[in-house]
Amino acid sequence: MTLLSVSGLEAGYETGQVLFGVDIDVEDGELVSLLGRNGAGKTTTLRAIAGGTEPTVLGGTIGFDGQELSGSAPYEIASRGISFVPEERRCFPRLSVVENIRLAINHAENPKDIETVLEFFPELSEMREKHAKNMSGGEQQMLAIARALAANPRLMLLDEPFEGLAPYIVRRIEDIIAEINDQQEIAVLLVEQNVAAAVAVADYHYILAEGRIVESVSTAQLRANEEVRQRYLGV
Amino acid sequence: MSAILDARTQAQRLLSESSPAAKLGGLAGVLLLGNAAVQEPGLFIDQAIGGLVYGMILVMISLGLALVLGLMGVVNFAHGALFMLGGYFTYAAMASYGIPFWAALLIAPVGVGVVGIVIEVVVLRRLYGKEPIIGLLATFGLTLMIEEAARFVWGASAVQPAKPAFLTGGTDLGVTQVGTYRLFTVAVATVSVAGVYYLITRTDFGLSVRAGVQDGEMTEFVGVNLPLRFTAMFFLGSAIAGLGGALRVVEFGIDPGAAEEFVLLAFVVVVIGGVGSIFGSVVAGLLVGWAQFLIPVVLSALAVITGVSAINVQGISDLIPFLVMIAVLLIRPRGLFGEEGLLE
Repeated sequence: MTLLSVSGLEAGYETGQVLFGVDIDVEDGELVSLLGRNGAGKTTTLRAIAGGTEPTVLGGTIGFDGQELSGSAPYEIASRGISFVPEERRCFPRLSVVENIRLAINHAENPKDIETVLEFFPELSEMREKHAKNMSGGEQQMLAIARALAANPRLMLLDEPFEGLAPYIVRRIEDIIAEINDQQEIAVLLVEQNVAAAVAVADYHYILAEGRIVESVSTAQLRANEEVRQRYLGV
Repeated sequence: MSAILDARTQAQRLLSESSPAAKLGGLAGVLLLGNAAVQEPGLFIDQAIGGLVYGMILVMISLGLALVLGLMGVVNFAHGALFMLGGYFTYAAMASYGIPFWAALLIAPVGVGVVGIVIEVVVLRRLYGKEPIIGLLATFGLTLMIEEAARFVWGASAVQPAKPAFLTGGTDLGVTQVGTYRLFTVAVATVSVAGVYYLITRTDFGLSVRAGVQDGEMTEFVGVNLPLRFTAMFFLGSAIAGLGGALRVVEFGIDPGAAEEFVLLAFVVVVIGGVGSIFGSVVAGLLVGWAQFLIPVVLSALAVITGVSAINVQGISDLIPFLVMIAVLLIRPRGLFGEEGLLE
C-alpha cells in the first residue's frame, strides 16, 4: 500500500521557486532514498512534507495514508505518524537525552516506551541526563533518530543523517536506519548526497535535479547505471 | 528540594565564573551590609523586608516578560500595563462592586490573563518571527491605549482600596514591627513564583515550553501544538503580573503611570538576570528590590563610621536599579544567568 504519495509538488521560498513538480511514492515499510546534488531541492521536499514554515507549497499534493497533508500545521502532520529528523539534527540543546525523547513521547498518539527506545540506543542510555549540546555529532544524530523513533511513526523523514560523521559512526547509523526499517517496520524517506551510504541501506532511489525527479531506480539499477550517477550525482 | 539544589548549582557556577575583582566586590558588599545591620538593626530589617516585598513584586512582573521574550521572541512593552490593570481590577472589584479581598485577588489576575489572551490573539500572533522592533512598537502602542483607558475610567490620580481588616495590623519581629500585609504579600508572591518555577522546570507542559524556547520549529515537528502554548504562557505571564498589581494596589495604590514605571524596572530585572532565564529573573528581582531599599541604609551607616557625611547621598533610590544593571553588565554582559541561555 502506498503510504506517502507526493504528486506534482511545487514549492519555493521568497527568493524563488525550487521544486517544479516532484513525484515520490513511498510504500508502507519501504526504505527509499532521495538523491541529488547540493541545491537540487532535497531538503525543500522533506520540509514541504513535514510542514515547515518554509518552503511555501505552490502546487501539487502530498498524500499520506489517503489524507492530504499540505496546509496542515507541523504538529498535526507529526500526530498522523510522520517523524522528521532534520538537517543538523536539531536536538534541543539544553534538554537532556531523556527530556528530548520524553517530549516526543508526550506528544505522539501511540508512542514507544522510553526504555524500549533507550534499549535500542545503548550509547544514549549511558548518558540519560546529559544535555544535547554537550554531546558529539554522532551522539546527537542518534538522539535525533531516537526522538523520532520514540513517537513510533509510520514514516520517518531523514535529512542527510550521515553528514559530518566519522566513518565508523556512519556505519552505526546505517545499521540503526536498517533496523528501524526492518525490525520496526517503519517506512523511511532518506535524503542523501552520499550515494554509497544510500545504496547501503535503501531499496529504491529517486534522483532529484533542479527541482524535478529525473530518475527513479532500484539499488541494482543505480549500481549498474554509471551514466545516471555521473550526470546527476557526479560520482 | 530540587529547586534548592538548582539554586545551589547555579550559585556555584556563578561563583566559580566570577573574577577575583567581582569576588572582592561581593565581600565588600557583605561587610557594608553587616556594618549597616549592626548600627541600626531595626531600620535594617525594616528595609530588608521592604526590599523583599518590592523585589517579589518585580519578580512577578519580570517572570511573564522573560517567558514571553524567551518563548515568542516578543519584547512585550505592554507587560507593565497588565500589572497596572491587575491593580485597577482589584480596586474596581473591591471598591466598586464590594467583592471581598480574597475573591478580588483571584478575579483580578484571571481578568488580566484574559486581557493578555486578547492581546496575544489579536495583536501579537501577527508579529511572531518579525523584527523585534515591530513587536516593541506595537506593544508600546498598546501600553498607551491601556494607560489612557485606565485614566479615562479611574482618573489620573492614584486609587487604593481599603486594606482588609485582618491584614491591617503589624507583626512583632522583636527588633521591629512589620506590617502584616507585607508578610502576606511576600507569602503569596513566593507561592506563585514557586508555582511558575515548578510548572516550567518540572512538568510535561514546562518541558514543551522549554523546548519551544530553544527551537520553536523543531518543537512543532515533534508534535507540540506551539501556538496553544504561546497563548497559555501569555495568559500565565499576564495573570502573574496582574497578581503582582493586585497585591501592590492594596498597600500603595496604583496610578496610570505605574504601567511604564514598572515595565522599565521589569526590563532591568530581566537584563540583570539574563534574558529568558527564569531563575535569573527571580534572583535579579530580589537583588534590585534589596539594592533599592538597603543601599541608602548602607550609605548612611558608612557615613557614620567614616565620618564623611557626603557618602550619605540622598534621593538616589530611583536610580539604584539602573546603577545595579550597569554594574552587573560591566562584569557579566549576558546578565547573571544569561550564559546557559533561555529558561534555565
